[in-house]
Amino acid sequence: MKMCIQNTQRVFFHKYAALFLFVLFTSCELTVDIDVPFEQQKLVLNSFFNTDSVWAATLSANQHILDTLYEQRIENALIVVYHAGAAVDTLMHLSDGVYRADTGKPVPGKSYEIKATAPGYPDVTSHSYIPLPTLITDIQVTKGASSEGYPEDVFHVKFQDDPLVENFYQIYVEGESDYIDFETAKIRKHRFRLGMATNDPSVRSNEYSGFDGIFIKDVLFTNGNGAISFTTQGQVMDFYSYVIVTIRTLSKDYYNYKTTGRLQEDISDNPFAQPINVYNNIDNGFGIFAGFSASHYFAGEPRPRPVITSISPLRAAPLDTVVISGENFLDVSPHYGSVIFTASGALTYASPVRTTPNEIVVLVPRNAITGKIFVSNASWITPSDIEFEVIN
Amino acid sequence: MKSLFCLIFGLLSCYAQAQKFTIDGSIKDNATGETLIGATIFNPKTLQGTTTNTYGFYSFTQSRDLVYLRVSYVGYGPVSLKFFLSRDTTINIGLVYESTLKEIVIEGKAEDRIQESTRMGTIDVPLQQIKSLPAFLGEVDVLKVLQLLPGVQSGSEGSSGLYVRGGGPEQNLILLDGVPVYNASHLFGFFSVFNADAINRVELIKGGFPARYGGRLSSVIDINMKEGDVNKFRGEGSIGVVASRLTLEGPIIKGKTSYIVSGRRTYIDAIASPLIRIASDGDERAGYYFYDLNAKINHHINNKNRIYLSAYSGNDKAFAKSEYDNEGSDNNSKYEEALRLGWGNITTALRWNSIITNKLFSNVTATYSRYRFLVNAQSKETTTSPDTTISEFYHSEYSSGIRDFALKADLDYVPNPNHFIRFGGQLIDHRFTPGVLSYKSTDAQDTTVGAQVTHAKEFFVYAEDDFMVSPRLKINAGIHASGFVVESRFYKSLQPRVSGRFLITPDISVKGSYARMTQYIHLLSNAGIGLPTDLWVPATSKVRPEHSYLASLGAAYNYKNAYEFSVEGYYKEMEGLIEYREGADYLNVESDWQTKIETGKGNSYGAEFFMQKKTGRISGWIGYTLSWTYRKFENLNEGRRFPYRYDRRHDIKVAAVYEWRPNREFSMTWVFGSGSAVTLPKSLYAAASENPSPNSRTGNYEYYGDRNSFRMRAYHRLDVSYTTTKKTKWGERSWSIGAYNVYSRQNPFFIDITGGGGRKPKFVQYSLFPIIPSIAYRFKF
Repeated sequence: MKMCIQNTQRVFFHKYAALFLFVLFTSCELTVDIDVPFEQQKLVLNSFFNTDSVWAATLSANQHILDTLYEQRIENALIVVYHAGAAVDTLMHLSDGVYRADTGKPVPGKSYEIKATAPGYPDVTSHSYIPLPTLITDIQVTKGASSEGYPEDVFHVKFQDDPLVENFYQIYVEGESDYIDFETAKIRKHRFRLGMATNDPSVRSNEYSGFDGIFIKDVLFTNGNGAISFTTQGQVMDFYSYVIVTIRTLSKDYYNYKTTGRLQEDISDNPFAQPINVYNNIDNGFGIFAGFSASHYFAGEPRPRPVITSISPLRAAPLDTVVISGENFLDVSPHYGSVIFTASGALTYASPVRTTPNEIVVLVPRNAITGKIFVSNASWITPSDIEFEVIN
Repeated sequence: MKSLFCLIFGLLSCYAQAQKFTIDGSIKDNATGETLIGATIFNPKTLQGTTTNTYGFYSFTQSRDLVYLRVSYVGYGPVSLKFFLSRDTTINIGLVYESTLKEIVIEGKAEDRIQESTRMGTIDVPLQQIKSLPAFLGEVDVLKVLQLLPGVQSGSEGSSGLYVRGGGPEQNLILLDGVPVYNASHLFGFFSVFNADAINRVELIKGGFPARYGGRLSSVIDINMKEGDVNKFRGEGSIGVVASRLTLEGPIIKGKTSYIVSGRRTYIDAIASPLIRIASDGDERAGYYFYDLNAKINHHINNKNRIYLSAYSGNDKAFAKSEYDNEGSDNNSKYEEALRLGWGNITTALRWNSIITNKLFSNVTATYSRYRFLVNAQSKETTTSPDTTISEFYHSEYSSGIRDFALKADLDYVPNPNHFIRFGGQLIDHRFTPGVLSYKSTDAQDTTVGAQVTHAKEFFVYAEDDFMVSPRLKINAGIHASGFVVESRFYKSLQPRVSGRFLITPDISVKGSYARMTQYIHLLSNAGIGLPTDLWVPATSKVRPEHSYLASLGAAYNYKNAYEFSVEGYYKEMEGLIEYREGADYLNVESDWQTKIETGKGNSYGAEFFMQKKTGRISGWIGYTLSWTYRKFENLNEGRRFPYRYDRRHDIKVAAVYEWRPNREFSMTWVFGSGSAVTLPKSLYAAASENPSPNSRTGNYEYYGDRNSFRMRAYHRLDVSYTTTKKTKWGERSWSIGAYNVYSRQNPFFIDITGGGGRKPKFVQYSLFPIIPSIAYRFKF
């Protein structure tokens, strides 16, 4: 018998219960043989569909709980999508069990059926629908603070809710900002899903899920008006060039899959909680076939973009002082590493000596070479029109 | 003339025959004056008899004649009386305790023998036997002894929770001197709150409920506190591994007023606290203890009236404190954190017993019961730099509880030996506080969330008659009518109760019973292991009360007044049961509990076999239960029926006490239960990704199949104890040594799956207690 005090820790999931560890003198661990009958392997078909993408699916097989195999993908299957009994698209195998249509996309408001056939497995079928998108009618953002005093933005979003049908929504917020590839000096855009929190009465406790957004049923909405309030971590309107609110109208399948999936993950560490199955709508197999429509909206105005009007002098040696004039250098600061010079084979940061909204004073970095200068205000990155010449 | 004479004589003789008188009084322990509940008064000539009620009172009506009375009680020497009954007579009898459960040679018959009683599913365990059986860590535990009875499951390892005939722990009405105790456990259920030294009698009713009980679906555990010795000051106590107890009792006014005070406290904290302090270099302090305090005053106003005041208070308290200092280059900071956790009950009863006439006895009780759970956390950080001191704090408190005031009247009316009529009623004022969180900090105002206080009124009236239809057939029929007013909604319920026995031979009877029960309060339990965080909540306008009906059929056999055998088959249906919705966040008090639950049904059926021997050098019992228990919720397990967590197919209980020499006693218990039902994953499958791409994986979901479709290993355990008792100059002392789980069976507590990272996954079972020896020193003076 192996004594193992540390395992008692699993006994009480309640955070306060750790106090009582010392009264549990010992706890013992025993590997047990539990007869989990090996049932025939089944196909796992996963396919979300929406108007923005072509039909796609992944196909794999489930594995016995005590098996060490890791997600065995199925590459030789036939996957066909049907509408009203007629085949609308056949998904082609790309590689590694990922199947995709060439150009076919689902049409909002329609129901579809999917069928996957693979040798050695029972055929699987499923059906779902893609609801019509909805419209956001208003987005208000105010600055606030959490109960612990941390800054946050408070969003109030209003949207249309079709009162004639049961609706399920997912709302998430993204922030978009520029970033620069240090090797190619190309400016690209990057979107981040932002962390969200809510106490809105429309949201049930199991419907909120950090970065995945908020999932809601329309039970509390009346007269065709939906509304939800939530907060983001930090005052995000000051950090991103654009803040985008996306509202998805979900099929019930999608809603059930996401909310039960989250529940299963949440309780996985608690040996006393009653485990739950994730929603599954694949007949004869596992997985999900579910549609959604999405609408995207900007929240508020975009952040002002820095504008470079002049650089003085236009040529200088490393460690010389250069003054960059322009507009919207609002939160350019040494902390953001927000002035970038061209360097050999890459880019290099310069530390501003002094900044005002219209002027940045900076020292030419030691390794700078002739090329463009970039000014960043945390949201945007603006290149100079002309090349700055570095004298060596 | 002759015919007239005959007529007059005949009428006179009829009159003489019909003329009946009532004998009443009380039966007590001769030495201590302690009431003997359920003592037998029997007339072997008429073969009629009765038993004393909860207050030791009896009323027995017999014809004007020479009356023989035989008065007996388990463990006491019987008393025989012979007198001519020519008027109503009061006879108070004191019986003499004849040491440990001596075999009583019963001449004639006693009324309360198992085959003759109409009661079903009712078991009375002599307290002496409870004290003699092995106890976990030497702490005698009444509820754990009840777990050793057939039809009662014990829940998880070490817990004192009772699962009676497929019902949950919230369906047990646990009465301490008639006051409901809402949370009967200490330390996550490892110990129950009842201090055996302060208890006079324990009765478990798991079926065939008489009409006088109501308010819970599955069982009644009726516990009576001792009243205190009216004649002599005495005390008893024990010193054990985890706790010590002391009980003192004696007269305040000799023969008239008595008191009893009993206390128990654990001292784990005294041992653990210094160790934690040393281990953390003095930065951390933590401790845990619980205590119980019982007190009762009993006063005889006169021969007809008595009053009692009894109170119980028990609490669990835990705390942890830590303190850290950080010395930086330009500032110093100090961080202090404290956490307190406590829960406990208070119950109080003021009771007035009155013998209104020699056939009518009344008992009026006013009661108060409160259960409260409290968590309090605070932290403070002080940063001191040369110019400033910044202090930040956070304080939060979570509390939940239930509070009852109640008034109750019970009347016993015994018109003749063929009827025992009981009637009465109760009114309860409940206040539920199912979870209030308040917090404040440097940055936040005082904030209180979740203050969903609900008031409700519950009442019932009842009437029942234990009615001898013929010498063979006896029926107890009654009606219990109850109501509940909450949120301007009125729930009502009419609950017929009937049970009866038919004697096939004087030693064998068949019995049947039917009872409908209604429960207006629910327990929201998050883990099913009896944590103090479980919330008592009322039926509301949205959540309906729980109902059940239970029908049972059985037979009882008495072998030479030494062995009692019974077999009972039962079928029970329950509706309005509540469970947390799948994955509901029960720690989030901000949302209403009513949105976090599902309601459903349950049923249980099975058979129980029981053999009991209450007296003799070897006493004890053997019980076997074969049962099936299911639950069905529309929104759980996709609406399909699933086995209840404590659905155990086979369940065997053996308890025995053997007095092999005077003052040397050996006892053992052995339990076996089929593995309890558990949900385990069967397979893994890939989770879906929004942007599927080759060679990327998104993780797996587990597939569990049906809820509770697997079984854990069977549970079995042997506990033993050996007690040696010695008379001393000052009284009596005894040493008890024992062991829990003697052969160290690794019984399942929970099962988890390990592996991953290339290692082969496997199921691992975690157990709680290996063999645990104990020693206790007990004394009496």
